[in-house]
Amino acid sequence: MGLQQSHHDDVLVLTPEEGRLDAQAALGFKRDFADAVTRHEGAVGLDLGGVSFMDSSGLGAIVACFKGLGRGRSLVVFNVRPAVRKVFELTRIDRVLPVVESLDEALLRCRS
Amino acid sequence: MSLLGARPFRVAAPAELSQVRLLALAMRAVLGEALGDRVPLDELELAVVEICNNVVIHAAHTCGTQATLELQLQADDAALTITVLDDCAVRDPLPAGPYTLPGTPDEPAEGGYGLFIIHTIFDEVAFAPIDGRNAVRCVKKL
Repeated sequence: MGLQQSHHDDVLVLTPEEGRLDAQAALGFKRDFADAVTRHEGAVGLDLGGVSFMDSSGLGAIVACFKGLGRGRSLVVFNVRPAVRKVFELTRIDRVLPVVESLDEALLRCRS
Repeated sequence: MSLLGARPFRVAAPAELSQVRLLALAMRAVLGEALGDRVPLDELELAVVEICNNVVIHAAHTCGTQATLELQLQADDAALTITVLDDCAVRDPLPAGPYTLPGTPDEPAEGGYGLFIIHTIFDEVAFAPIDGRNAVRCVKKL
């Protein structure tokens, strides 16, 4: 799948390089996410702006990554397209995992 | 009046995860051209991908390397019907409901959302084999 990484002070922002986070991509996403966060101790932002499609396998991968971070670290999803936001809303995961509009908002949530 | 021709529009592909996305994109292109904004394309793509993923992940191993997924599309003024067929061992992929969300607010699940998504998006979902092939018939009212 491949994840671009950028650092915004204490927040690591990860950006999937593929446009579909589906059953074919989910395992690679989980592996790449785990690799990235082992080298970073703080909060994580996930930029889904380039993801045009996500199925329940992709959603499950994000939930697994969220749970894998543990209670002391936060994950905030941002820049989500309508089709992908619908999956978060339909499954009510957006009530557990913060899904916000912009990078600025995500950084605020990560630091709150 | 039929909106997609008198006979079902058919598109098929090998039952592999790499082909599911292509099958879904083909369906999306056909429905977008024929029905435009009368149908929620994003939601239909999601639900059909979930059904196809279930076949590939849970059943394709029962029919070797020749497993095939086929979508049949039919529409009239009242409804769009999408039938997902596969030629794997006969099984009912739709356990009895209710189809509730897995997990809890404190402990969200990492899987098990597929059936809930399928049944939420479509108005009717039923398993009804056709000529010995597994067939999941899904109806979306227009």
